[in-house]
Amino acid sequence: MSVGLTQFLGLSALLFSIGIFGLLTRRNAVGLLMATELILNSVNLNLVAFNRFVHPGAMNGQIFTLFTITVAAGEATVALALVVSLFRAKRSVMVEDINAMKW
Amino acid sequence: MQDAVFYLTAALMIFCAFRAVTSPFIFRSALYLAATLALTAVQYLLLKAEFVAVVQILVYVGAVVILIIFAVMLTAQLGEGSNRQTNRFALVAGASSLALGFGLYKMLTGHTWVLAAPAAVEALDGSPKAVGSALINSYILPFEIIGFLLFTALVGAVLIARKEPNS
Repeated sequence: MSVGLTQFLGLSALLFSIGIFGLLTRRNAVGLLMATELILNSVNLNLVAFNRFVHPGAMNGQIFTLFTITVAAGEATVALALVVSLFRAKRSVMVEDINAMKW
Repeated sequence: MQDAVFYLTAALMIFCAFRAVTSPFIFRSALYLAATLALTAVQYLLLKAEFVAVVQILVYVGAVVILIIFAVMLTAQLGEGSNRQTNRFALVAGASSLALGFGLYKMLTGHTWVLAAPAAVEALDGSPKAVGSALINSYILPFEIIGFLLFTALVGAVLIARKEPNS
């Protein structure tokens, strides 16, 4: 079977669910961030595939992907700064140790 | 040929992504993430999005993964191997995420997409010239806003991560 939109949708749905699995099972805050990057990446793959197969006349999907990559980079920067500062305060990056706002 | 590349890359991507979320060592998991993101760039090349593929390598593999590796090293805990990296909900999480992925796939493929003509699909141009001209002409406002957002993220990250002066 020739590779078309369906195959890319299947691949990105599988990558998305792997990312969700990581988000649900990781204890380390950096691991959670990596799972988030996987999820964003699967969405980007979807956007580029739609751009190619559904609307090749315009660049909308690719431009949107570029913006998503930029926002993901900014998000990673701030999140890792938070992780480093949390580690300094609590000596731990495990999410169950971060419970100061939970009762 | 293209189909073979797609299926090989897809299988490798799924393996690396799975190892990235299940590896007991967070550093290895960062390396598997880098592999997944680099393989995604191959998929972008298959989709004729050359510029996006280059940006993917440059920003994700070159910057974000390096940043993650730095964070892993700065927050390394002694005896990491014995310190469990996953919680005890693997079974429930696996079942629900697989159900979510399957539902997503069914929903996306259930809709009949109006596919473009094969000639138009082949004519798609993802070169830096085409993307750059679209960025400067049609998307100039979001382009400027994203630059401001990046600047804000940079200042915020420095502010959050720096040491308090008198503590």
